Amino acid sequence: MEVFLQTLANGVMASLTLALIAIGLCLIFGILSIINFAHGEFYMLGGFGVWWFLEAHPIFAGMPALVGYIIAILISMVVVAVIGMIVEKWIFRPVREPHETVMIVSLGVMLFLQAAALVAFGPVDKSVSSPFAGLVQLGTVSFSNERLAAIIGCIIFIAILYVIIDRTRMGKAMRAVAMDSEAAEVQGIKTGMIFSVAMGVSCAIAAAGGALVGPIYYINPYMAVEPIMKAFAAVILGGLGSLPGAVAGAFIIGLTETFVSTYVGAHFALIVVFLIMIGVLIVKPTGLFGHEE
Amino acid sequence: MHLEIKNIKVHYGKVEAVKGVSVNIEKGTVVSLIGGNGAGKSTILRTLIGLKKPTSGEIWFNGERIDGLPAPQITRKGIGYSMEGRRIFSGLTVHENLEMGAYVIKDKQEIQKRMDEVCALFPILRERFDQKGGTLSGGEQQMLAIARAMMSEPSLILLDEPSLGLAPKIVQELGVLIRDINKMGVSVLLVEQNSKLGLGVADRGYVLEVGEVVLEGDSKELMANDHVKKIYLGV
Repeated sequence: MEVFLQTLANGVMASLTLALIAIGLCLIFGILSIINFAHGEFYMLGGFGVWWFLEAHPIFAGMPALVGYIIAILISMVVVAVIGMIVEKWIFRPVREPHETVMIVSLGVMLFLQAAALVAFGPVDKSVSSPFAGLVQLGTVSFSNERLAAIIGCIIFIAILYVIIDRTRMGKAMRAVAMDSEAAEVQGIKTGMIFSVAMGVSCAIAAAGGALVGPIYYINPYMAVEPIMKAFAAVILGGLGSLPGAVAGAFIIGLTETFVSTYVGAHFALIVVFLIMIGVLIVKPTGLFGHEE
Repeated sequence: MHLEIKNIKVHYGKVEAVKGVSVNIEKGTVVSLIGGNGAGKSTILRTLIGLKKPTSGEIWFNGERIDGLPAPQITRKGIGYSMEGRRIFSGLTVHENLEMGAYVIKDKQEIQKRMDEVCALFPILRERFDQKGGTLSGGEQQMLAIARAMMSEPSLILLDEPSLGLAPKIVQELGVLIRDINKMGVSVLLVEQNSKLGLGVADRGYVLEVGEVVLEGDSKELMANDHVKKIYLGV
């Protein structure tokens, strides 16, 4: 029972982090029609962001640890969002048609950002000391505060994003562009601006994911290689273009992986994850939440 | 003159879809473009709203040259556009669709006021307010498409094939509706394959054949014209 609860908690954290990447992938696919292989790199940059502000150049050292940590996360998100918007406007947008071109360009951006991080930060794993020391004790199960903080952080960001997309004028305009960009334009919606916002928001929440798990895992230029594969699987599993689907897909994959790792063996985890994905697609090719066009 | 299209030519690749067409709309009038498939009617509307760039010619709206401007900017100048095939946002509710129609209006109270006015014109939409656009019937979707185009408080509205796929009874209602919109002081440019409806509600009409205007004039005169009678009205 103890192991089960522990695994469940770890699985939830892994799923939520994955969801932060998958949601962005899904938004970019839905609104910009781009399959963005470079998306994981914004998660990686978010990780390096908190490392930069907390370890390499601890400019917030005088503040309470939690305040410094939150500021570091927010600044990293803004910086990564700006990088993402630059990539979208000056690299993706000029080659938006046909879709194959921009997909291959995004692979190039992925390799470039990995190499740039390697040059800038070096190949050695970085760690960030967590502002959340100690453990929460729930009965016989103990859970580290840093993991709990990452879970809460992820939930907050997903909730904020949900409200933005569901309720605000900008969010509705984003959905309108995703459904029919030409019809959106004749309502007066400037699609170029919506592309920038969608890319910025997507990159910011991916960065938040990297920044939240930064204190838990190691940070290195290749830290996104595996998560981006799983995020793609989550988006496909949930149904391309469906945000609730992306979150559900992330949970199926995150929980499956964690439980298989714990009870069967880490080697089998990804095999089972991708078998599930293939199985779902055979039964329902549009994914769990997807529907025919 | 409210709208002046001066000798525009529009190409799709090397194909010339519109071969030098001129159309004028006086303020407060209804003008119809009629003609068969491939006559270039829809292309003219798409060019007007900025989704397509003319290869030559000029478009003047309220004394301002608008050809070549991007669509969102032309919308802001006061042109509403109900697209061919309705093109409503099927995953948004009726209410959200109308909100998007009012995207160019920033003031919340103004949007609410506009929403009330438009819903008075289309009472059925009020009943469907929180339903997703995609769940409406074809006729209701068409009403929504027109209502959405009216939300920005345009002085000119472009209607592209509004009668397509509608039951005859609803087509009749549509004619009344277009007149009601016009009575609110809005100029209407109507593109129709249903020539009876097109010329029936219009003050003036243009007959297009393969990208050229072959006939133009008072719609009553056009309806009396032998060529129009034979080819378009089936009399």
